Amino acid sequence: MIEILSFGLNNLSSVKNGLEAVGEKQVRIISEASQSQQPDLIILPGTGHFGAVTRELSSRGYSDLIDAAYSRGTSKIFGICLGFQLLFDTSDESPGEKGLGLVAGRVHKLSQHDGCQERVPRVGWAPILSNGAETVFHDALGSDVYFSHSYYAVPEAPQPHSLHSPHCKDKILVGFLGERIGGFQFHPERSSKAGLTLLATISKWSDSEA
Amino acid sequence: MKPRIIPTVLTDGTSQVKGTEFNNWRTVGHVLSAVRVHSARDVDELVLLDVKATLQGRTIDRELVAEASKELRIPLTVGGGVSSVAGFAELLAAGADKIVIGTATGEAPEFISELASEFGSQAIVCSIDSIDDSRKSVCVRSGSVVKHIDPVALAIRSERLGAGELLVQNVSRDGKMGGMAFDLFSAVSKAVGIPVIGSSGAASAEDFIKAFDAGCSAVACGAALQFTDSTPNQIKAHLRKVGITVRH
Repeated sequence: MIEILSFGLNNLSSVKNGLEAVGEKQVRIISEASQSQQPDLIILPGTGHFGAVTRELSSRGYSDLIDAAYSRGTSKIFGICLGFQLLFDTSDESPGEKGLGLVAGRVHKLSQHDGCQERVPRVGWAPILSNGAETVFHDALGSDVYFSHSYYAVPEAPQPHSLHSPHCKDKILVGFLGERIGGFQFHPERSSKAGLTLLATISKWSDSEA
Repeated sequence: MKPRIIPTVLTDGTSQVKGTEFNNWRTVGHVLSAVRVHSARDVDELVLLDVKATLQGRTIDRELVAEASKELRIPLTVGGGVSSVAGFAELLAAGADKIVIGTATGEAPEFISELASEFGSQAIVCSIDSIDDSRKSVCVRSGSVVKHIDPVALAIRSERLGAGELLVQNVSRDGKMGGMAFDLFSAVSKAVGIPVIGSSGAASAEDFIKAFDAGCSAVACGAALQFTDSTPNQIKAHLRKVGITVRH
């Protein structure tokens, strides 16, 4: 069973529809921690503003819910877009606010340094690439997926099944999948067929034993 | 990022409509049928705008947005009469990924900052509706009110206040498939660092090529994808021939 956390600010129906399209039969949307029923997977979705959402994480009891689920290993955690950024410690978007800190690292503003033609927000379609290692996402590698972000996460250590995407002359981290935690910077529910393939991989991961 | 081709579907609140010069609206079919066609073609993104909403004192219908969103596995951008934070939030919850702010961009710019601090810039598309190619004026309220502001100045102000993208339209070229305002696109693209979606007047693949050359990150196209036998994939084939890398 999968639970998607609502902050009242975002489009959750597309994520739910996407999961159902790849065969997930039990997907619930909850709007506060007390409604949680110990799911196999908690999805932290979102668009929005880091600071606005960290306040909701607290006021809806989600921080405690996620911390407990993660430390006891009772639910896996998966973040999408802003939800992906919230897994880390802090974000330049809201200095002083804390993310969940489940992955050591910080979120920085995408830069437009000289010579870089890319515009920010980074909106549109770009490919996902691996670093060459074997990856559970092998069937979607090289596909374009849909992004819409102005910030990107930099982990302190390499993450398992890491996905990267080009920005200027660099590659930024846009996804990973660990034993109990993972996330995508892009929107799989808005990434057409490649997105469904990726959601199917997450669905399978949510069913497997940690 | 790969340049995007974005079909535009217009509604008057009931049916799908098309017009010229932000006027002369005529019914051309059903919104959801058009949405399904574009979905089947797996387009890069879809823009759905209610052209009568502001004039009629309402917002684009939430149910319509929800129905359209269900049909799509690609991003949906909607607009029409959005003038409150609550209205913006409702449309996001209904299934919109991005929302076009038209009238407020020209009339109540502080609304853009309010939206940006609540929702972040990436959900906000500010519409710059230039009257013609002269850079002397823009319009608001579905084309009914003219303001003597340089569209490029409006673009710069909108970016500063928190717009994530700009939709640059041109009333005199709207709906006519007579070519696009490439100089205006170029001026806006050079003046801002956010993505620019060029619109109004696309007729052939040549127009798309010139718009991307002028600095647009995307081209929104209504009539050409509605009334001619051009499809986005055919246009993309032309783009690839001249070395432009597009999705698929």
